[in-house]
Amino acid sequence: MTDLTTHYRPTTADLVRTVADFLTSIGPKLESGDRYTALVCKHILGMVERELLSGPLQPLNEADLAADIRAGAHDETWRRTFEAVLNRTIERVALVKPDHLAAIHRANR
Amino acid sequence: MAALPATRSDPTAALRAAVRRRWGNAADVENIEQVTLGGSNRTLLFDLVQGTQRTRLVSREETFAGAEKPFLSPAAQFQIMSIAHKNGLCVPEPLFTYDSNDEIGPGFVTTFANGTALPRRLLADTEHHASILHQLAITVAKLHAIDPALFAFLADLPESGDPIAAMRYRIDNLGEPHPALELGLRWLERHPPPQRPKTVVHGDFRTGNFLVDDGKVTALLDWECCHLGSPAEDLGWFCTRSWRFGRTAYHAGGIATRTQLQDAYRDAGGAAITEPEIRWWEIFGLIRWAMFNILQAHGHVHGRRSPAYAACGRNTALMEYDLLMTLTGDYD
Repeated sequence: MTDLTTHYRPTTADLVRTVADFLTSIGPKLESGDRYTALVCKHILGMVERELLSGPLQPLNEADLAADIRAGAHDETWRRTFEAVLNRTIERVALVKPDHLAAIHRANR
Repeated sequence: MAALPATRSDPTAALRAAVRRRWGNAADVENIEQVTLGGSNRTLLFDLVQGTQRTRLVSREETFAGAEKPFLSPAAQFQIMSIAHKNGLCVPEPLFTYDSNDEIGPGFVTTFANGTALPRRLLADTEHHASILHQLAITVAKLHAIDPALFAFLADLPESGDPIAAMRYRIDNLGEPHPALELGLRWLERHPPPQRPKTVVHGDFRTGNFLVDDGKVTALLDWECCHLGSPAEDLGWFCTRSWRFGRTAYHAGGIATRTQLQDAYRDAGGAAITEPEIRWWEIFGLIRWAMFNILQAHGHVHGRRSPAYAACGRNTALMEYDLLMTLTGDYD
C-alpha cells in the first residue's frame, strides 16, 4: 500500500519526535504549571512515536477475556492466562513508559 | 503555584460576594491563589479581610460532576470534615458551604493549614519520617475510632458495601475491558481478608494528601472518597506502591516499612491489622488507582480536556504492570 509516508520524508514518527524535541527545548522558559504540562505532552508524544514504530499487539478479544476471568472461567488455567496478560501488559508498558519495566523485562526487549 | 488565570472562570467576584453574604459587606477577599486544579476539585487560597484582621482561608470547589463520578458531594465532605474536626483530628476547620445563592461552587470554605503536601519534599525529609509516621498513625487511628453511626449517611455508597463489587461497578461504568484488573479482582475474591467491624475510612489516606510543616502533620486533606469499611483499607492504600514515589522499600507512603506502620497504628490504639490484610488492600489499591486513571481519561474524552488527563488513559498499563508484578511476588 502506498500512502503519503511511503516516499515523503520525514516519517510520521520523526515528525512527532520533532515536536517532542521542541517541547524539551522550551521547557526551561515556561512557568511551573506550563512546564509540567509541556513534560506531559512530551510523554504523550513519546508514546505516540513508539506506537507508530511498533507493530500491533496480537489480536485478542479482551472484553471476552475480562468477562471470563470475572466469571471464574480461567481459575483452572490461571497460570497460563496470567502469563498471557502479563506479557501483553509488558508490551503496553514498553510503549507507554519503557523505564517503568523491571530490569528482567527490559533486558529481553 | 500557578497564578490565577484571567478567564471567565476567574472566581474573584463570586468569592467576594459569597464571603460578604457570611461576614457582611465590610469583609473583603485578597491575595487569591489557585493551588490545584486537581482531578475533581479546584482549590483556592485567599485572605478574608475584616478591618485590620486578615485570615487565610481555603475554598474547595467540585470541578468534576457526572453520574459515573466516585467522589462525595462537597456537602458530604463538609459534614465529614466537621465531624472529624469536632473529634480532634487535624483537619482544616470547615466554615461554610456554598449554596444556590452563591455564584461559586458547589464547594465549601475551611481554615488554612500551613505545610507542604509535595511527596518529593516529604520523602527527602528523612529526619522527620519516624515522627510523621507516628502522628499519622494517631490521626488515622483516631478517625477509625469515631462512632461509625455518625457517618450513617455514607452507608449507601457502593464503596461502603462489598469492595470488590463496588470496584467492578466503577470499572463497568467506564466501559473499557481490562483483563489485568479482572485478574486482580478475581485473585482478591479468592483470597478474602478476615471480616472486621466497619469503621469510617478516609479513603484517600496517602503521601500527598496530608500537610507537614517542619515535621508536624498539620492537616489530613482530600475527604472525597470517605466511606464505611475495614480500617485496613486506609493502611493498605497508604502502602500501595504508587504512593511510595520511588522509595519502594518504604512500603508505607515512602516514609516507613509496612511493619513500622502496623506497629505505629497499634500503638496509637488501632486494631491489630495483619500484614496479609495490608497486602490485600495494596492489591486492591493498585486496581483502584488504575480505575482512577481510566476515569480521568474518560473525563478527558467526555469534555474535561487536558494533556494530563489524556495521558492517564495509557498510564493505566503502568498500574496494571505493578499489580501483576505484585501478584507474582516480584514486587514487595
